[in-house]
Amino acid sequence: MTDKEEVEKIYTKDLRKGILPSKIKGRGANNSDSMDIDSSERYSGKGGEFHSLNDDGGDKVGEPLKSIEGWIIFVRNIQEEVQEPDLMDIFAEYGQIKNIHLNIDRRTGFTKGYALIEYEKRSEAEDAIKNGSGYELAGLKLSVDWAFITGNASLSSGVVSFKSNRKDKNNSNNSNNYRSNKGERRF
Amino acid sequence: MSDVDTKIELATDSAMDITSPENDNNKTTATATSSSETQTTEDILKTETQKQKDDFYLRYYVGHKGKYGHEFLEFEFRSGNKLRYANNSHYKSENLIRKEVCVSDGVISEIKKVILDSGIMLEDDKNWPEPDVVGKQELEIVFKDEHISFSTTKIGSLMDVEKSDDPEGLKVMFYLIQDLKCLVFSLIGLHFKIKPI
Repeated sequence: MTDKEEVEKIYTKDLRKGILPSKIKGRGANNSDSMDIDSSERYSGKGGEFHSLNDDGGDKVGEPLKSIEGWIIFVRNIQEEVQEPDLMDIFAEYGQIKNIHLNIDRRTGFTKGYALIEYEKRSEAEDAIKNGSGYELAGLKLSVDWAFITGNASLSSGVVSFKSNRKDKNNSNNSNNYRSNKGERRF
Repeated sequence: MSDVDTKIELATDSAMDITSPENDNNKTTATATSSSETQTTEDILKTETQKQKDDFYLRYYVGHKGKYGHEFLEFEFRSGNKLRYANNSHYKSENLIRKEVCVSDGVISEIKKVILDSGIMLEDDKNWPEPDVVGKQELEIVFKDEHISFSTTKIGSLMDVEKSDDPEGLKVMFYLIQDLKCLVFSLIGLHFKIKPI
């Protein structure tokens, strides 16, 4: 097997589990890039410690997850001309809205089609999901769900690194190591 | 089968009959259970295979090395709906930001929709400007049986896009990245109550 063929087969094993696309498209598929910055350098030491809000792993997997200040729902299938006040009118019925993000499409300037809405209480968010799902707004039926859920206990287990399709390189002799312990902290 | 083997088999059977009068029933039950278990396992494997086929992965990186070290932004959606977000800078003793959260299926579906609508899977980076001293962008997506891994330089504005050899393709990348960053910043910003950048 040539190097190129081997590179085409390299991918996150835990993700693809052997079912791989036959070919990787793009120059990222080969290792010739002289400016390649290896992910092992990016996430070495404390740089590989990620903070999440369910570190204790006590919750069941797939349960709604409370954010720092409240409960966030994710609204989909929003018609492109719908604006923030339209959503506020509907979802304020279920509780006081603490935050709302209705992002726009950068190309068209219209609404992108989704929104994140934050409630203080879980019961309010649950009402919004129950009653908001299927609500017809500007000819489209809204789809409403939790934005965040509890993950596996392994979600934040120790040092992790971003995956890449490239082979790991030995960076032990890399002089461009900008990391120092100064100013770094574990979240 | 030799005579010895036959005798051993008969002896074993008779011994089982002596110790367990309901042996025949047990055998039947065991077979049924085994068959049922096999069926369930097959179903699970079938479902798992389908799930793997529909697996999804997205990673975006933008960064450079300069006066303040290696400054970069990277986010990744992995199997299990995990979103990982990293922002790195040593400017004025800035701290590293490393956040991780599990998002719902609805969020993943929306990201898939954004990707499909953008048409990025049909593009190729062969005519895009290569990474240089200004910096580097990487976009890696696995969606069903397609895998793209694009890299290019940082794009400052649409003027840079228009000047490139593939303005249409680069424009797709330019807008997709903005849309993805917008969604990720909303998710991270609301969940952790931090300014992502």
